[in-house]
Amino acid sequence: MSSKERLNDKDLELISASLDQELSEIERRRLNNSILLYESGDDTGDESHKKLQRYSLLRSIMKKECDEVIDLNFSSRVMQSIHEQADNEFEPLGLNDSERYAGYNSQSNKKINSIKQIAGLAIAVSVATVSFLSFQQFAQTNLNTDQYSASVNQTESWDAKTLNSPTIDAAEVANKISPRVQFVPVQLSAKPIVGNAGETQPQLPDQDIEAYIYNHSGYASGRIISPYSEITRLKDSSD
Amino acid sequence: MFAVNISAADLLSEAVLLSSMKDAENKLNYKGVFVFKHGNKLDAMSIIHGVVDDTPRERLVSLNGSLREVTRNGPQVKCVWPQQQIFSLAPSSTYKAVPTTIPTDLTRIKKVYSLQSSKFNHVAGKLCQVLKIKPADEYRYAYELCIQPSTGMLLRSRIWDENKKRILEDVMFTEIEYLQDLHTVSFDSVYDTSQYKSKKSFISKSKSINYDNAEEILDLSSLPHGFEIESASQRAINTNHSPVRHIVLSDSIASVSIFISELEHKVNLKPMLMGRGAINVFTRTNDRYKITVLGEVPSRTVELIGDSVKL
Repeated sequence: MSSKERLNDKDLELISASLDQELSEIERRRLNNSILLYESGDDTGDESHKKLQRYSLLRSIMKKECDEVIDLNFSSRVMQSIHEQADNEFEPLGLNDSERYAGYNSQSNKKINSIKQIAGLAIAVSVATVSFLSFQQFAQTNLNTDQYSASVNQTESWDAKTLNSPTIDAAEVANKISPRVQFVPVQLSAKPIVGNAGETQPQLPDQDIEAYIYNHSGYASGRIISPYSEITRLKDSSD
Repeated sequence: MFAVNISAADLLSEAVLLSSMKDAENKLNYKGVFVFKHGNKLDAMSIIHGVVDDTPRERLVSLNGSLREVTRNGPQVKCVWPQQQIFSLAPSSTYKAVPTTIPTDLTRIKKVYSLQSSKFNHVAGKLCQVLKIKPADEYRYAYELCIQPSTGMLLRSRIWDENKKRILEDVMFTEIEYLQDLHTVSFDSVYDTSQYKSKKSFISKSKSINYDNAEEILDLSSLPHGFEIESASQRAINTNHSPVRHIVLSDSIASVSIFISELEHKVNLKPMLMGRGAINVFTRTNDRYKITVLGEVPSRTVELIGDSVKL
């Protein structure tokens, strides 16, 4: 048999039976020694082994036995790409309007607009994917009777560093940017705050800040925060 | 349908654009979907918004993450977390469901920001005019808005860091449909919360204190340029044993809150700076008070304002 020749039905039956582990010893030898080696054109056996793996994978996919491979980083990569593009988009205010508007109609900007539309579509697909996955996760977490306490355990901590100097000089503050530490406004944990040198600081009453953020949202900025934050440690009314 | 034959002559002035945006907030009835990127989070929300009998009504539903529903009936805002079977009720004086900033006072804005509108874009399939608001100094963020000229609807809002290098927050409608007829049932919650746990709201009761008092507390000369006292009140906040003084500063777009609480016990907390997305928080204590400054401003701004408190 030449590698150029197509496999006949009987050969395919043998491969299928092999994948289902239904071959006799004689049939298995025939498959390995003749069909796959000849079909791959290689006499080392490596190529035939890879080919058998590919067939196996195809079979699994056809039978839906394979785990779905979903790229969870897709959304973030799309967002990152848009941000990189957007970084170049925020131009200095020095350009005059006519120059800017001329630029809007230029070929290059048309290309950018096309990219934006594609990126927009990608975001929509991404959001739909995230929504779908979230729905799946929601359906699963509903089965978990201890879901609420689990979410508390998974909450990120206030990983806050402190500034080194106990008092701040006003002139120094004006010229100095202190290290800014990420926090989760309303997902709070009871972990102690660790300072720069690793020493444990007295626990900041985190609910104070949580309450302050809510009051700032309600009476100063007007940007509602509740639906965009997890509620994990609010007090019960019975508290 | 995209409008293709647009020219520079079609651009509205910044003043007209801002005015139409403000009007749209109280006049437009619409439903749609928007995405909100903040920090490392991406939220997609469906929204229906309308004015029924002069009362603003809204209903938001999360489309990803944990299930959340927010309904608004005038000043009353109800948040429901059906998975946890909890809800909270909160009054709010300045509630806005879509987390955007709508500047209104052009005269004040121009003292500390420069405005530029010179091009169009498309968002949610609608033509919108881009308005860039650039800060005069490093104590505030830059904003980029995209407003539909024909309706005044704010379709996209981005907050950039003070160096215009990084987007801190991005709100964008992906779908929007304007409504002629409103059905009040569309604004009602779909959840029966009678068996849910009620959570105490963090939104507090307050009583006003006079401005003189606030000005005595702050070293106004050391505040970043353009920030003025908007309000001063004393709040009963659940988490504090004694009333908390709350002073709100604004530069016409960005808002900063100063909370001053009396320490129950003497603690020696070092100054702390925290942040997420566009929000920064600065806290320091002295012998008697804890001073917390927070707002949608750069970290250097909350530090500087925190240091201006003279108590």
